[in-house]
Amino acid sequence: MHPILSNRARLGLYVGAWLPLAGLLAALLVLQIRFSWGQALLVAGPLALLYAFICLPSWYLCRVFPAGTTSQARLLAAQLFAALFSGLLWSAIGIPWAGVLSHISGNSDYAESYRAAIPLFFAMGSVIYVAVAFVHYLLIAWQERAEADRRVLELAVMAREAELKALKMQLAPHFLFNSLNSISALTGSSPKAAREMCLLLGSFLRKSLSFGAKGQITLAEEISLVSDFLAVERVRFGPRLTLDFKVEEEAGSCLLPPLLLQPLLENAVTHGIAQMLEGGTISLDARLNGSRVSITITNPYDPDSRPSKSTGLGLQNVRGRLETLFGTEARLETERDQGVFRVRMNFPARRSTNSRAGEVPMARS
Amino acid sequence: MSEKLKAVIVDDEEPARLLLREYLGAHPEVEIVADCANGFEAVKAVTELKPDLMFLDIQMPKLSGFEVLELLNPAPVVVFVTAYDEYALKAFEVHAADYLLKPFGQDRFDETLSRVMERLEKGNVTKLEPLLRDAVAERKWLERILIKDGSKVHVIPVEKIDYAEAQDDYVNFRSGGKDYLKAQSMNDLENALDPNRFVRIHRRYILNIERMARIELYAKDSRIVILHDGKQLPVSRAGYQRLKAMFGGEV
Repeated sequence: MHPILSNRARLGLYVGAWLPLAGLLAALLVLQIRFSWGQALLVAGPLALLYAFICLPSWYLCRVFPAGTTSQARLLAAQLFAALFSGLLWSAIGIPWAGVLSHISGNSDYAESYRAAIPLFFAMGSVIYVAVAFVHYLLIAWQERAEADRRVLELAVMAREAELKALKMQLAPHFLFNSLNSISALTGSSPKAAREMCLLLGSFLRKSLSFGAKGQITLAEEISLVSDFLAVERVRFGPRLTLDFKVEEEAGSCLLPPLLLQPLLENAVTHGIAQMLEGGTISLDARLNGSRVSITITNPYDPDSRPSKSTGLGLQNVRGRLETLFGTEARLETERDQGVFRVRMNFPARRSTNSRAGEVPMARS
Repeated sequence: MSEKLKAVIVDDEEPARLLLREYLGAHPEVEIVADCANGFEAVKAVTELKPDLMFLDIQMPKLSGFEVLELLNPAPVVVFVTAYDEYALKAFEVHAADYLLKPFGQDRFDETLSRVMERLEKGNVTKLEPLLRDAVAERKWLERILIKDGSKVHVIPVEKIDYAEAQDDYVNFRSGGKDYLKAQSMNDLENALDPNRFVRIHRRYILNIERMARIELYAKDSRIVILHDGKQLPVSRAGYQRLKAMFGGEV
């Protein structure tokens, strides 16, 4: 859509700006060609109004040759050619208009004097065209800026939503209820283990809250959070849940969205281990592959039970969070293969500028 | 009551079993006869030990608490013990004596036990035909068939069934070259199975249409279905109409 034609207020402003231009033209005609003021206004007024609309299509040319991406030479050549052409067209249209005025008034002055004014119209027309094109470039830049602002805002809202969802998911009440029940059970038989579990649960909740409030955390931080989570689950599931974690040290300082892995490991427990009579091993492998971090999580699952909907939701959420931080740079894929569920992801390795790896809370053994 | 009450505890989490054991310690009139870590163990224990009372978790591997109940007839008085409150209505429908939400304290547990005593004096009414009816009510088709064989349990995913055949009050399921007998009505089964995958081809047969190789005219107005393994099944006139409707008249 044309930014001036499509908006009534802008069109009014634009046409209004042509009134002084018409006056200027008339003044030039009076001073240079010796028109009387009345004649000059009759010639210049309608022609100026007409030219206002002849110049408007330059917007399309500005779109075809956008400033910044087109080479300057091509842009200048195209706009200069258009300017000269418009000036020529305008000055040519003036000839029959002056003829009409001569005819109506019975005064051949108009046609004759106009002939002398043709170079003036041509020059003014070209210059005015360039000015209008410049206004169009400004308008386009302004529109693009507004569009970019809107997109940034949209992205921020999306990121916020994904975070909220993640928080909600990760505070799954059943996890808490089951854990509290385990603590209540252990208080009788083994108060020490009950206390240990309270500490683990506290540490997990504290980390989820503090990490969840950040835009990104290091992989080592995320690993320490999921280690707390899995340690709590190990109290519930006992020997049914075993872990096999391999995290390369260089990968530990890379950044990722907070609580990215936690929902995946929660899925691995509730949809994998909890559905197996004998349980199994959840393994996590994180390493640096060149300039990318790749993480693989596997867990056994019962092939007889159907894939649950909530797994799909969890994955969608993880994908969304990866996108908010890495855009199209991140990959996430899953596969089911002979009773093993595998999530693979990789994303660009980024490190925080003020690396404070020494302060990262380490995973509990 | 001179004799002790026999109770079975079923939960896949050890701490949860420990807790029930501890709370039951305050009730010498109840004796714990089995401690089961999954549904299979539960079915076996209840069949062999005939307890009066069962504490039953719902979310367990392979067999859920409700599926365990489906397999037990007669079932003992049941108390569900779970962290999920969304099954309360269903628990009520299967006449559970109580529904304990984790975590719970000794007081709440004692209350449960007195409800159980009341229930036992009146005579247990834990009655179950829940799953089939449920499947229909929730518009969710049956995904697997549970068959109790003595104290053993077979779980057959419906896609592994070739066909089901009526045998008096039983249904015989043919799957993987084996037969499994289950006490069930053909009509209930037909209603619970996904009609896009299973067709009642005859008063006595329900067919998994993926197993069908072709239909042959056998005599005037009488047809048979031939399965991929060569087995032949009769098709009634109504059954043929259903097959025709399913394949858009192209059979």
